[in-house]
Amino acid sequence: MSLDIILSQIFNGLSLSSILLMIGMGLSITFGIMGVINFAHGEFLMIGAYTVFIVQVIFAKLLGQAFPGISFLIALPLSFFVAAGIGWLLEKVLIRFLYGKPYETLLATWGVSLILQQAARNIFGANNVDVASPKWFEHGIQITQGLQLPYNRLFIIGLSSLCLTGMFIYLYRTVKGRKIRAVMQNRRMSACLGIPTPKIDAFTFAMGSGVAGVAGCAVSLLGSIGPSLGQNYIIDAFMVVILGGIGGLAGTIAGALVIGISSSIFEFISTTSMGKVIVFTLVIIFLQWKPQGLFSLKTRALD
Amino acid sequence: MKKWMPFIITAVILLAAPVFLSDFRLNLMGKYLTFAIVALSIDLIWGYTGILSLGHAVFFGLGAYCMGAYLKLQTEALPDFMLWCGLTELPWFWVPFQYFGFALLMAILLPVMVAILIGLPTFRVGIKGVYFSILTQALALVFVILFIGQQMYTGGTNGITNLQHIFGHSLGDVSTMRWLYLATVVLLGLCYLFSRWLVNSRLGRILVAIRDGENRAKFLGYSPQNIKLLIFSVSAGLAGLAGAFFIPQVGIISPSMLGILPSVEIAVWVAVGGRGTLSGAILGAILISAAKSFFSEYFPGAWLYFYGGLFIIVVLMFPQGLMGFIRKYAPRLQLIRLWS
Amino acid sequence: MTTDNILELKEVTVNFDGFKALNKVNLAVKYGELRVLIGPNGAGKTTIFDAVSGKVRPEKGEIFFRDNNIAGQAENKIANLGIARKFQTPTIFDNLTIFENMELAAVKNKGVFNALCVSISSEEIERIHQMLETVGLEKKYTERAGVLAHGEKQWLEIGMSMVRKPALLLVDEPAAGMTGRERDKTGELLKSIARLRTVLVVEHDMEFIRKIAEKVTVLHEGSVLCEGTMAEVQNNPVVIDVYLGRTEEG
Repeated sequence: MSLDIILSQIFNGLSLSSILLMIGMGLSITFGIMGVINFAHGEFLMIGAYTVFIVQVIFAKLLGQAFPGISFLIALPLSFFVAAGIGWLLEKVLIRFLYGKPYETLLATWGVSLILQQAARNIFGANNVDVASPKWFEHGIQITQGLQLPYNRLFIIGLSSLCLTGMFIYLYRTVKGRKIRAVMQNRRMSACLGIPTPKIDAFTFAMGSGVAGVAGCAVSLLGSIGPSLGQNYIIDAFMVVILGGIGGLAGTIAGALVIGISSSIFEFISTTSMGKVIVFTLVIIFLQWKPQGLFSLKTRALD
Repeated sequence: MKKWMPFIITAVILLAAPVFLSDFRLNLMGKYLTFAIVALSIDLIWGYTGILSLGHAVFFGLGAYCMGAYLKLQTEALPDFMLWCGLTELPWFWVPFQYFGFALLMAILLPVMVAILIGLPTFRVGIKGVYFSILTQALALVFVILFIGQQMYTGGTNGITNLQHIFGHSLGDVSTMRWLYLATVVLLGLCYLFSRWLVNSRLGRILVAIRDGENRAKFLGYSPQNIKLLIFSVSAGLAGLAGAFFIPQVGIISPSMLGILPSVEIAVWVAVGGRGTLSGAILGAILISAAKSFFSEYFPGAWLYFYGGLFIIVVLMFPQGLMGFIRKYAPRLQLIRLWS
Repeated sequence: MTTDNILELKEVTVNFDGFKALNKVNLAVKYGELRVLIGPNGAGKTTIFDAVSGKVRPEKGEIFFRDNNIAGQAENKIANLGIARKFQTPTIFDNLTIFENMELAAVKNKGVFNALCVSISSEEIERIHQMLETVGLEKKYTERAGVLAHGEKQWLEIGMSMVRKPALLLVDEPAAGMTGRERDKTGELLKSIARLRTVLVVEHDMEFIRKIAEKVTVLHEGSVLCEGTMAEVQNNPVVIDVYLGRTEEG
């Protein structure tokens, strides 16, 4: 196997990592802050992807042409706000009743996930739809004869880095971010100190959902989209969270890099199915060494 | 005697069902009863021990595949999908499946082995709660992909289909179907009695202790990891057994039946019926499966909305399920309480 | 070589991600002693319990229980060797009855098959009822443990620890959150237990300690500061400095 192929697999893995990172960030933070396992998180990805589709359809209807470039630029922020809005609503009507009950949220959000998927089927049809990619993403940077880095994947990596930087600045450099971290570490104490925990919860949930929406936007560049789009990524995203540990960005980054790149490599050197088996086995083996994941908060509480 | 009345009445009704149910409904009912066994199995591990496995369809499916292999070999010397994949000879690990006893044994042992393979490393390092749920869910995903990928040995996406005979009788015959149904009723009864014995023994109380405070149980001198591994294996074996009885009645097993969605469905049956009660698990499995059939007959599009809504409503309003509801709101109705 | 120490910690160091919760602690407890550990918050009192009972693994050092090194063993193994631990907050099983709670504690063989096939012996049942009598819960033994008042839960847990006939009982802040009368009763209970067993207590409440303590060990920042009777310790200038320097109101 030539170096070019290895490098291009790592590069593909990196772009998968970027997507998983954008999904995983929201999952990890909502679990850390509210003890909520959100199985409907993948559906925000789907919502983001369909946002791109809708914008293109509207352009096509109004102007007679989809204008993939401009519509994508419009859809990018829009997907964040649409997903964040739906996330905010979900938090308000359902999630906030389930804080600290992971099993219950798990089942309830599964229900939400089923409903959202079925809704997508009813609105957009059960079949996948194609989203036209902007022209600028058509080619790539030619590094060597056999190694080309496609622009769309480069863009996804950049977009993910941007989301990460934004999230980092927000969590670690702003007052609100400090409050979020405080609630994550000790909810009761934070409430006593006057931090409005319900607001923080809703806001954080919406943020996480929004970033997943942006990830959906990115995924729409890679292929057709359908109602079960989120399902393709959610398990891997959960693996990222388990591997990385709950409660910080560092773990999510590490988890996403490991899962993304190893999936890409193992699926290439064996088969897609064996690749999955190998990665899953490696995760289990890894957990023997660090059961709490790479980075985790330690407590002395019993049970 | 009084406490056995619900069991006896239920058994009599189920055994008499061939008299008053049409053959089509009876066949469906037989299928639901295998689901009820899976529900019992997950109730042992979730309801009593507090470990939510979201990969139980894998165990059910493995059981079904083992029995499916036997049934397939009853129909064809070399399964059709192997022919299509260019195999000319039966793979060595398929050969012993021509014996019913072996297939039945493997339908139990194979799930148990998978359960030990996943349970041993995870329980050993104290992985629990939703982490375990997510890992078992990943297990379900891995198995689906694996079974689709290994087409020449598993039949790929289609799975094992076109099954004709069991013990020389045609699976399509009404009489065969009835016998299979009655056998399933008996099996469910045995599984129920077994589970009941288990949860009423001191082990049952240790399970509850582990559910409510694993570390506390440790400081009393119990080894939660061994106990969890045991109950997880038992649960997997029961689920596999259910799968073995499922396939002759349905005639097909495919990877989609051992995936994530069916795994979550199993958990929802128990959540709806009432986790931590054996009768609730059985009731939940039968009711929800019947509702699913009803919806897919009359309102095919609405099923997932109803189902999704059901998840949410049960979690929000009836966290203890139907049985919890009965216990709470019918405390004086002795007759009803006996059943819960 | 046997010593007359039931428990002996030698140079035990516990490290939480660079923070030394215990730093080379040496501690010896004789058979039949009632020893109280005191010290300001973060002194390492509970960490000693954690290390002895197997909840944390010491980075260095040895912990001898009846002359066997138990450092780093699993919680359930240590428990079965004869060390019982009563936690600060009541750790009982709410969904089991009081009797069932006691039953799980009382049964000697904690194996799985024993739990499935062998029911509890009449000798054990009798022992349970005697113990329930001692802790004053005999009348309620068929009730769910979850309905008990805070103080009663604490007694149940003490009962569960005692019915196992442990050689060493670790008790973490038994009087915390109790009313005056409950506190007196708990003190009496501990003293009566100490006649039969070795008891190690962590406590903050000086009044309470004065009532029960024979010998006190003062911990400070992960190390043993001094040891002696309550009177000796209270007049030790170093102890006064540590306590007054940190918490003036305490």
